[in-house]
Amino acid sequence: MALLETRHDAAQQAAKYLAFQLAGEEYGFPVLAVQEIIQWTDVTRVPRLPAFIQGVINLRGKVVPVLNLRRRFDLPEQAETPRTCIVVLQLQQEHGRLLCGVVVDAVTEVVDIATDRIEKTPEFGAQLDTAFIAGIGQIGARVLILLDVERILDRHDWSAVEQAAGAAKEKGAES
Amino acid sequence: MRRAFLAEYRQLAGEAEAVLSEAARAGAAPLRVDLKGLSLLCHLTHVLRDAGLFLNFPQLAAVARPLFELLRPRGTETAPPALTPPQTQFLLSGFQLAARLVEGVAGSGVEPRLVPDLERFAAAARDLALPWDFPAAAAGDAPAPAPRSDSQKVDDLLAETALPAAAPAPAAPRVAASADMLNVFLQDADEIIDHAEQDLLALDKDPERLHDLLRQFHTLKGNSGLMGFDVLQQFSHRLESVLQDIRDQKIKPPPGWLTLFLEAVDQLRRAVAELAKHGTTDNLKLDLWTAKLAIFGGASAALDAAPASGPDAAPGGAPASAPDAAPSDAPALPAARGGVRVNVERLDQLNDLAGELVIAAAVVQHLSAVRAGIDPERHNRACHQLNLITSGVQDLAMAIRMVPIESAFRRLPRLARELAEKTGKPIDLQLVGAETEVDRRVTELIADPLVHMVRNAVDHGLELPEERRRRGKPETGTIRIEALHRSGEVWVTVSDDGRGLQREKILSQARARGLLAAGATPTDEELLPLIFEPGFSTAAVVTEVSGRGVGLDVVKRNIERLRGRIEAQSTPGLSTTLTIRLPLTMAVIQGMIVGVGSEQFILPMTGICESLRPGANAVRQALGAGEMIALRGTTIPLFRLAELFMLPGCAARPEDGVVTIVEDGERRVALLLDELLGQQRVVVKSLGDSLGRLPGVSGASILADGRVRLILDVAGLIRLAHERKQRKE
Repeated sequence: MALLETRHDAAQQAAKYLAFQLAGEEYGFPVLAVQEIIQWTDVTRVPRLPAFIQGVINLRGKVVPVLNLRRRFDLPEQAETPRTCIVVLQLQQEHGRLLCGVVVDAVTEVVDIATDRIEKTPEFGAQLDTAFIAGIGQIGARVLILLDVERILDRHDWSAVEQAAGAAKEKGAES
Repeated sequence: MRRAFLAEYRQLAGEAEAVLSEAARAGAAPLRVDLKGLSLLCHLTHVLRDAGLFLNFPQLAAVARPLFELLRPRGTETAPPALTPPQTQFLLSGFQLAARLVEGVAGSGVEPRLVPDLERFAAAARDLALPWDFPAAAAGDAPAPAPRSDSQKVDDLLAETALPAAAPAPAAPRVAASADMLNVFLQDADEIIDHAEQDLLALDKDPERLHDLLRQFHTLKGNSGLMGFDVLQQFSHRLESVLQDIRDQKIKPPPGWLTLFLEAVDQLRRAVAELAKHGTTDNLKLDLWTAKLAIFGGASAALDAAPASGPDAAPGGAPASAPDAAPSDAPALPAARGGVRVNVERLDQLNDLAGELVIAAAVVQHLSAVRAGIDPERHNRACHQLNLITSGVQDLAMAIRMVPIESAFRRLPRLARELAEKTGKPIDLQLVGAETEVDRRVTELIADPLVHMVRNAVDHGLELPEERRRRGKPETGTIRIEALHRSGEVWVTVSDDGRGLQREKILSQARARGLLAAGATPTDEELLPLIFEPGFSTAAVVTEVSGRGVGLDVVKRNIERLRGRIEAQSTPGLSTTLTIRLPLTMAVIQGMIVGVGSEQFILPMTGICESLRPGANAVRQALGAGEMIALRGTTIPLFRLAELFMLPGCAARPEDGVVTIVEDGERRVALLLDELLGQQRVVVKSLGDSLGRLPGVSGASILADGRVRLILDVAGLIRLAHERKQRKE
């Protein structure tokens, strides 16, 4: 009886996630981090930035950077389809709110995942950087890779890559 | 409110330090504080008492009260009395106690319990026959008093401390002033007070301004009378009377009277701010100030006249009872100017919405144009009309945000005057380009750094008059502050003709701190920025004068918060120039839309010298590396924007493209672009915190098609180009 109750409690504790598709897999962002979802729009390229920063868009008068998640995760590139969306994430920071868009193949739905159905990131071995993954969620047979928004939007990471990418590209352009 | 108090306290306490340390040195001798020092201390206790009462710090209020009694000006005494040693001791311990209480408040938000000290202080107060009023302390316990009884205490205290000569007259407004009238009054009052301050500051150079000054107080008196704000009316009346006496040479103004008047103006400003908040004059405490004016002996006539309208003026009394304000010359309330104060956030929203409106209109027009059944002629006309309106709305929304930088300059003349007095260095402050329009937020955020920089220039830049004379400079030091638009940025320079930055000292300190390698011989460009490093004390490095100069690292941090930069230039022995370069956040610039490959960028017009289509042989290559273009006898290095930015698909041959000569300060380079697409005003937006500073890009703008275009940073591009060149070589 006691056992049953505990299970019941844990099942009650569920978090909402926005599920989306990326290169055939299903991923999730915590809904609280999502400000809005907009249709694909023209992205203005910003020179001398790492390739995974696709550029900037106009979000009702604000200039908001857009990340390409496929490039971020080294997944094969794909042209935009009518289902391509930009998920605008928001992150509270000390200086205020940081807004950033990420390009995803398609948004599926908002799902509840019970906390006891979320597993820690498994070890994939050295070939896979799992820093972006906050956990793996299961709903029945579905498996969602839950992403760490803070880690993805971490700017320090960007500028480090920025210099490396800038130098590499420059070399390429000159040779 | 607490923050405002702390800021005010810190400033005053800083200024009072000199007076107090002099007091500490007095020892067993009687202490004679000069008029200025006295009014400063008096002001400080007043601030402490107000904070104690209104922010509910009973200990602070209790400490401030006897201090205030000790210091307060007494009637018609012209010379302040000397303090006996016990009084001096009491004064010092009181301010120390207050400082500890305030520190506690600043740290934790509540005042620390200092009961034993308070009791000692209370005993001292009783010995000196000064009032002490803190029953809770006697019981050894300080429970937070109920707000109700506290406000009662406020009234009591106000009543007690009010001087008999100037009992406040909290008369009900005679006219039930409408909110509109009040708004107009407040706005006018702000302007009048600002104006009066400018007059006062200019009075040294231009005595004629006295008449204008009189008019300001007269108008304020009249307006306050009309509104039924008796306290304000009386106060401005007194200021006016004193000035009249000075004008008519009935009295000789004592030294330091300008400072006192400036403080009175501050008091007025605060009173008006209070009025704006509460809508009544009941809480205004100008009586203390009225008393201060008593130092103008000859103005006693005004003091005598005033009480007649004070206690006697019963609520609802006729305005004619106002002293000496002949009804005939009471100025009419000026017509409404229709100004409104608007929250900056709303302006941001308005701007964004206006931008959206333009874009949405363009989309609708585009879609409706292809629908059958619409008369194209009429459709065009309607669209044209719509465009006019939407772009009008957008222009207006932008223009609203732009204000002259003047408001950030406003505090400086006053500051320079005070610093000149304090340091004994005469200063000629020149303000240039006050009309330069910048985003409102810039004026708000740049004011403090400017104050620091002027302070620094006076403390550490300018020499004392004798030294200047020895060096063959005019005794009066010049500090010049200039604002201008340059290369799509706002530049604000603060320069002084003082002793300059001392290279050797910076060098040795930099080495000592490990900022430079021991053997390195840096250029000025590498060395001077070090003065902005934290811990790089200007007092120790730049000069040996130890002032309370604010570290330049603080200035730098503030500027960086505006995403700006600060640079130093100096000619030893002659001058120092600090240049703040700020991006025009939200500002509007005239931009040239340029195409490179498949991309478009905005090039600020201010950075463009000229554009030309190069001939087939105009571009030469030096040693197979650097390209350059010959232009009217000079050669200018040429860079391909597409290469700098690594963009695909653009003209390979210069003659297929356009060359634009850009400059930043002294440096000029030629940029090879594909095409010029037209010129237009664009709103500068930041790229957002997330992207930070990018080389060669200063911001972004959203054009009418709804797409974001990047704004090129000419200085950054030139830097980028030179870095590349060096790498190639």
